Amino acid sequence: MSSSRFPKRNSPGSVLAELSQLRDELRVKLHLAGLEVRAQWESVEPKLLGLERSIEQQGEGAFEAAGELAVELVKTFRDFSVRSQDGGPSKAPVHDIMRVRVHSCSPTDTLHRAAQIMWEKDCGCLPVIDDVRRVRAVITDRDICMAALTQGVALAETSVSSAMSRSLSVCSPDDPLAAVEDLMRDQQIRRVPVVDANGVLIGMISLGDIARYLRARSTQASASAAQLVETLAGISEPRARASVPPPGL
Amino acid sequence: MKIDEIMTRNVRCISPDETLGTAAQIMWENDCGAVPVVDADGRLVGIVTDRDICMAAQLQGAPLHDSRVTSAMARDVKTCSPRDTPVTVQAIMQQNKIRRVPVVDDQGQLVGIITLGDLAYLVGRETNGGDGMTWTAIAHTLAAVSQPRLPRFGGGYSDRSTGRQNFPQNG
Repeated sequence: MSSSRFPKRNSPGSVLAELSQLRDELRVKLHLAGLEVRAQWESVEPKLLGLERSIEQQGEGAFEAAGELAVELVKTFRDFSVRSQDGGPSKAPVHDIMRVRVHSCSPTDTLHRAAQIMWEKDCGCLPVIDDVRRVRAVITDRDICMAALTQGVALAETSVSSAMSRSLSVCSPDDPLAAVEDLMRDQQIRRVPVVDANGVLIGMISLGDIARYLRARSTQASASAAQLVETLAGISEPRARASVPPPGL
Repeated sequence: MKIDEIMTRNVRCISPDETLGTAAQIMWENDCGAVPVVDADGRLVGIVTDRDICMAAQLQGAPLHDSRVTSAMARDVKTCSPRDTPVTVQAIMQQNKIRRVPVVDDQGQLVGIITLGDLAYLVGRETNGGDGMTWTAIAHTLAAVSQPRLPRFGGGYSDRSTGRQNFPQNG
């Protein structure tokens, strides 16, 4: 597989032979795979056929396209091997589901600014990041509501750092879906920032994102739906009652 | 099964003339995110959420104790009857993209509240899948509720004429 990813030094004939062989292997294995992998394959196969044809006709001019196609094949293989192990989406990695266009704020922003971003972007939760985009905390519309209550001042007069969460739960893009759901249930949170190895923000994943992901794959998702509903029930369970009133009351 | 078997009773509610500070304090004390608004006769006239309070504080630029509930609450509230079934209420949530539904009797009096979390808990508890509701139905409702949308036309923060969500810069 690795030799075919960037087949710059191979002759057109050997690339063609390798691609044909890979295609045949995949076709056989895909009988065992889930619907979504098969659908993915259906989008890749015509390109593969087109590429084989162009290699035959144009020789070396087709190498660039071959590289791109090989990358797509790698992805198909990866998804296939991940998902065919348990036949369900609970092992799908977070990066398949997370949203990558994420709005954020800084600890020094005012709560007025954070609430404005939440309004404009129609979201209820912002990751709080430092100047190198490392995630420090999250802040929700509820946090702002409660800060307004306890601090008793206008939002423009107080900062995000005074209201943001003090504990932080994050996940990695390679975590399986099931692990994120466990995290949400344990921490009773519905939104989790996705960070790279350095803690830099690369996305967000919410319980709603997972629900929409499952809805798009409803044919094979009933066991996963059960798990999702359990997660929702767990999150919605009333927390241990705060024994003290919020500070300042 | 009827909703009055699983709904939360004795819901803390608030009058439209009380302040947002009181509403937020009720949310804090009860660990909830929404407080039904009732008039002097106990009839439901609105609902106010933690998000509404956050946005009202932003918009009005004043401490919560200086703002009235009526300035931030949503008035167009979808409700259900205590005799409705869980499946009916789940459909109301899915269609209207809401996760909480106040329960009112025939006179419009508030008698309880039911949340999507309650329904999820019911489906999880019942071996037969919660009286006709399925895991998948709840998951689909959650997907619908979580779909991004225009903010609710609650406290008058939206510009109806353009349909865009303009953020008011000044109260």
